[in-house]
Amino acid sequence: MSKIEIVNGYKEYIKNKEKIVVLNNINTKFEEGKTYAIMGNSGSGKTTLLNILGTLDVLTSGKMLIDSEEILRLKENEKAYIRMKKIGFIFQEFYLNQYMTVQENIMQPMYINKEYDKTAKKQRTNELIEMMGLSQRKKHYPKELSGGEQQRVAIARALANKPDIILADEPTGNLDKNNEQKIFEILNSLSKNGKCVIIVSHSNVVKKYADIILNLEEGKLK
Amino acid sequence: MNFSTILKLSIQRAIKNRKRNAIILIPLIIIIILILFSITIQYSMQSYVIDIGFNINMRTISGINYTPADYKEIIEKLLFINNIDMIVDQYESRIVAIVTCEKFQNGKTDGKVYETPTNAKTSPEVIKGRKISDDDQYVIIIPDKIYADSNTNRTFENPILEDEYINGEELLGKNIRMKIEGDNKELYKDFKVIGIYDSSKYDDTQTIYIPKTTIKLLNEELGASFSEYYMNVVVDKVENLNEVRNKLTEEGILKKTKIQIDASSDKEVGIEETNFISTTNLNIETLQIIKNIAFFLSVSSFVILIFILVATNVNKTYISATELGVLKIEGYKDKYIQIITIFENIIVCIISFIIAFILYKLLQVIGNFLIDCIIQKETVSLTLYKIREQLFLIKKIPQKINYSIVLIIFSIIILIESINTFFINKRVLKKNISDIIKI
Repeated sequence: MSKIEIVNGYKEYIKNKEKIVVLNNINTKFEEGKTYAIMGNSGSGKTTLLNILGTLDVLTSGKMLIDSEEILRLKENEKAYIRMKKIGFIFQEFYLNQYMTVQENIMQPMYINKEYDKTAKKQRTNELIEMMGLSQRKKHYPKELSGGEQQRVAIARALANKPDIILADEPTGNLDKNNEQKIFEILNSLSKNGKCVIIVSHSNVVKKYADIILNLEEGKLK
Repeated sequence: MNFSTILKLSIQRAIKNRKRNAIILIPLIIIIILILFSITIQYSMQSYVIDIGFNINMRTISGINYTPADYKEIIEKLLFINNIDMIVDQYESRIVAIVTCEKFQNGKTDGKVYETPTNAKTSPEVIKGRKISDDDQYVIIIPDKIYADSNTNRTFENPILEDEYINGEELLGKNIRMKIEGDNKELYKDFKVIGIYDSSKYDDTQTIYIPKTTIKLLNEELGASFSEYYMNVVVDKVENLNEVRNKLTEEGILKKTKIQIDASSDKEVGIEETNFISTTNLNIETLQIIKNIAFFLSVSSFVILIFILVATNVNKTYISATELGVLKIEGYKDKYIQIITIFENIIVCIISFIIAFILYKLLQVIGNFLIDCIIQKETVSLTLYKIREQLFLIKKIPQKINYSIVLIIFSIIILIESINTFFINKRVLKKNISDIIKI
């Protein structure tokens, strides 16, 4: 069963009264248990596509379904619920809260999840910290961590509410080769555990870990 | 999401993100201190003006001169002028001198006092005992604190120390023996203490109030003679002083000429004088001016405060836009983001207010200490002498703060901050999330 599906997806922007077509006639499915790599030149619309998949942006026309539910029709609050329950995001810039510790950053998404009480929150946080090998760093602040460690915190945070979909936008863009590999390994392991992992990346290293590689050229996905 | 979680997150954001919240905190603290300072000045001045307005000396118009021939006519005119509580002639307005009150009960021996004539209408407000009535004769109303050392000069050169006071309450209901000196004679008279007044309100620790009829009896007994014929009138309220003054001038009662008996010829002579109006050391007009300046300062501080709240909030929200974007990505609804950030800013405002208040009180203590140091300093120059004199007079004004106004201002700050935060957040949150995190 497909986790995410786009049907006749079309996205355009108006900039300086000029129409810019970013995505044109996108028809694709993303399934759970697989790692997808979306590649393409700079400005090809990869991030736009990822944002749309994550409900951070909307298609100009077409349909997008997550677990067979049509997203475009949903209200903002309903989309927020979907993001909380089903989607985890990872960014190139990490976007960690600098004034919160590793533990606090990871716990933040759990506050809006009614399934977690106080104990469950702590348990899940510790679980994720262990998983990411950050046990020695849980009381540290982001500025005290290396790039690789920060990205692992971001991944842990993305996994906080046990989402089925992981979207990663250039997750290794700010990392060295060593850390890059580690991150891709982690992401790949997530798909092995049944998650749908979609990675946007320039790096050729991602090809080693992706089950399916998609190229975005001139608004079309190949 | 429950309230305690929201509060927890708000507190966490408020306390942990010190650098960002300092943008709001620091200017807010400075402005709140300014506002507190100006409110205190206004309220203290206003309270002081009201309090000292009770003081008979503050509402006395002196220098109504008469000749024995026109005495009756002047009295008749005065009776028709409204807002006059008491008329005293020279025989009723002062005894030649009351020098000491003797036999205080608590070990101190005497104190130098000054008498003020009074009647039932002008009798001072008492905190214990009763006021003077028109039937009373050898009774007095004394201050709650009396300066016991007759040698000590109650001026800025020798400020009062606490242990030199006698507690007036201990003398309530008892008799005090007073030594009254005339030109050629002295008397010892017993007066019953019937009431105690608040000396801080009346700005005096050495004035006693005696029925004016008693003063006349004492002057007669002393054989006192005065070289001038004059009257004083006591107005009911200090606000009515100008009105009564104008009326007296209109009626030709208040003139520029003073009538005096020439000692060599024993004849009445007229002397030109220009200023008969009684004044105080720090007069009411001055206090009103200071109060108005303080009011202007508080209004302008408040305007600046609103500007600061808006500007710093805009700044802070755009700095933290990425955070708001991340919260949205994590699935936080806009309303929760709004509530958390509004609470966060309210907490910052509360912290600012507390710090500002503590700092203000500290500055007050330091300021008072510095004023005392200047007052205590040996005079080295005329300028410093004048400064010390003014500081001494200013220091007499009790520092009061109107906590209701402070609470109102605090509530307004919270309200403005909340509304401000809401609208700025709304503007940010309605953008696409992908745009928010790039701000």
